[in-house]
Amino acid sequence: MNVHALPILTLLTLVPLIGAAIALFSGRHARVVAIFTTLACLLLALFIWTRLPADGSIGLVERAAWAPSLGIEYHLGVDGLGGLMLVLSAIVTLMAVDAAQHRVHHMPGLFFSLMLTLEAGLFGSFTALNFFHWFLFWELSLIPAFFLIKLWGGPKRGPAATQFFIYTMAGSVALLLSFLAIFLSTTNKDTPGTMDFIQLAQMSASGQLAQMVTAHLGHVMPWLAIGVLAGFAVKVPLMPFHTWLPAAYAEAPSPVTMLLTGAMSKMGVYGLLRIALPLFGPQIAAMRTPLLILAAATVVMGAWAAAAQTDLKRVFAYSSVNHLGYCLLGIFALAVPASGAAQQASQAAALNGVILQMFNHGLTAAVLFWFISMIQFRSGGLRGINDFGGLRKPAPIFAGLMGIALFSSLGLPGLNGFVGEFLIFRGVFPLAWIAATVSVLGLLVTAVVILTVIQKVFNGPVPEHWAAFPDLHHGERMALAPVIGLMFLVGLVPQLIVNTINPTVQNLLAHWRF
Amino acid sequence: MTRQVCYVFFGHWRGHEAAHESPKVMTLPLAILAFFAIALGFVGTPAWPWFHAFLENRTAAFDLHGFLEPGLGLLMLTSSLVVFAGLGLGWWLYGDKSPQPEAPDALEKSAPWLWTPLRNRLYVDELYDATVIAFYAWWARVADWFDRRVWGGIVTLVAWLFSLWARLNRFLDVHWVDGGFDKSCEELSSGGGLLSRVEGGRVQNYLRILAAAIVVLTAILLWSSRP
Repeated sequence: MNVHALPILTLLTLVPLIGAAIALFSGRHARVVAIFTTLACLLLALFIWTRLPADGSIGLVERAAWAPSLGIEYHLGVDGLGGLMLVLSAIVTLMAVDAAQHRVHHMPGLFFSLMLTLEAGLFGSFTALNFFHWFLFWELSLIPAFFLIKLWGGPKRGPAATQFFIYTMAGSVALLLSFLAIFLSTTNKDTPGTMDFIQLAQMSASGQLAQMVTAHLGHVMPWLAIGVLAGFAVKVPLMPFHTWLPAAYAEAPSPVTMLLTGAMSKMGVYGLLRIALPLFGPQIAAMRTPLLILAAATVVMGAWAAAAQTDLKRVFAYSSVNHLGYCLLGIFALAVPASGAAQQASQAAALNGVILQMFNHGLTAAVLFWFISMIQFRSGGLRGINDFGGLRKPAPIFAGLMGIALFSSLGLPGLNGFVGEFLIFRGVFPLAWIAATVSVLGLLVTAVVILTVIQKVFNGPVPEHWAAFPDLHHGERMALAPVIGLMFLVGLVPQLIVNTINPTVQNLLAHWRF
Repeated sequence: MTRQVCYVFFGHWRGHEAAHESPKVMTLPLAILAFFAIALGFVGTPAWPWFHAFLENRTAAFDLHGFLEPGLGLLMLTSSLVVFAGLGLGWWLYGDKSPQPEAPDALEKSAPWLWTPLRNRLYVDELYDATVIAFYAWWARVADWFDRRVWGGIVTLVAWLFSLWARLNRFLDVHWVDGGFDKSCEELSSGGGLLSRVEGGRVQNYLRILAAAIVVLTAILLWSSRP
């Protein structure tokens, strides 16, 4: 069969939706359905990863007319960026479904069905190239996430879920308004407007988009850019639009937190790279300094706020804010007209770093929340940093593997966390040295925070009641081994990913105008 | 270092159990390390600055004239003298004495003003505690406070403003829109009641009203037709 004729991206989005429908009526067998579905999705995502165009352009394109008069088209495609996000989403969802073992007693069918719907939302938004289609899946992912927090979350799940929903919706409304303005501006009496990302990016690069918007609506391009940025700033998040995050991460059940931090937060960074920079490059370049200040604040204050937390989930929630802050730092730093080959190389390094960091943070943060869920399960729900001590003695393998994940989060060379952050700083220092210098503090503080967690949870004397803390059992070790292996693999041989994403990075940078 | 060597290797045995030589698995790596500790010292001498040259991407030739560099002899002599003075001082204080573990240190007895700061590691840890660590902890609390109070406060304020707006809307709805509607309905209903009394269907009433109307109309006509 000719694989190029197969609508594989549509298939990838459909598989979890079919799985969700089956899981809904499978009762206590829903998890098995979810595991098989997510495994199939992972295989499909890996297959897609091997079929990406070598030149970094968008491939596996699927197009069909939808509502041409409204500028709506069924347009799918992936490049190295989208492909990597598909693989990440598939890995994280599989881990999250696995982590939900023994933890979902109440309506398991609905729980796993919502998890799979969320996965479909992720796949849809990472493959869509038309705003309408993309926005549909962007919102689709929000609804299952809301119900997953609201129905299976912790004691304060109600306010946390509502805050999460309202924040993201407010951002989405700003985003929608900006795109409606663009659609109206690109409409003329002979042809309908467009919402196609690729077409809009080309129009933006040639300066045509800004002209059309100004002709129709006046000098509103900066405001449209702010609207789009607001949508993504909430999702990533960028300080000060982050206050929904600690509450949502802490109150969501851990498997859902894994999805929120591992995959959903990447939708925001992806949106910045796929939509904001290609369409609003000059406007973002004009706002670069305040954006860099906010990004550096996200890095530094996120890390420091993590240092003040005593709930392990909140520690890693703030740590996630800090880690995604590096992505924002890289993105905003590279939004500047390159004045020579050296600056272009710095932009490429920063962008490679950002995409790697998206993958690495997704993987590491999801694994860390998985470990926290195991700690909670073993301790009857405890997760305070001061509730434990000396766990490496009764549970040496647990401590060893979580230690690897923690060191990966810290950015230890040899593990995946290092390569992304290294490339970001390699790129950002020549482009925005003050922001980079300030942000280095974030690296230092993160290291202190993570070493404090290791010290307080795993070292020191073992309290009597934790003397029999159960170590990882065989099944858990087998489930964790591939992910921990992947951390080493990406850390030691980052070319495995960089070789595929670098052509995309070159391709993107060649088309962006600042 | 001399104190360490004197206590461990000189004087008489102060332990409880008999000391014995370490196994090969320990002595062999130590011997290798000792060899390099001595041998690597020659790699960096002015006669053959191999490592220096390696870092500068050039090769270094062995040349004893390197020692003739001006000022170098004095520097080597001074540093050697300082080292030997330290060794001598160490031996003078600790050599071959084997004090009991609980006995005060020789330096503690002879120079307590020096011993106390040395014992406290020159207060470097305390300095870090009071500066870097204190700032770290304080700023972490500030970051957390900022998050909870300032950003969280703004969010609460926005939520409160929305709630206020909702209350105002409800007030307008209940008292103005609903109230106005209710009032007009009430007026309509009472007006209807009044009319229903007039238009009761009794012919006698209608005739009475007609008669009264004719009287009023006649009066108006008369009034208006007067000269």
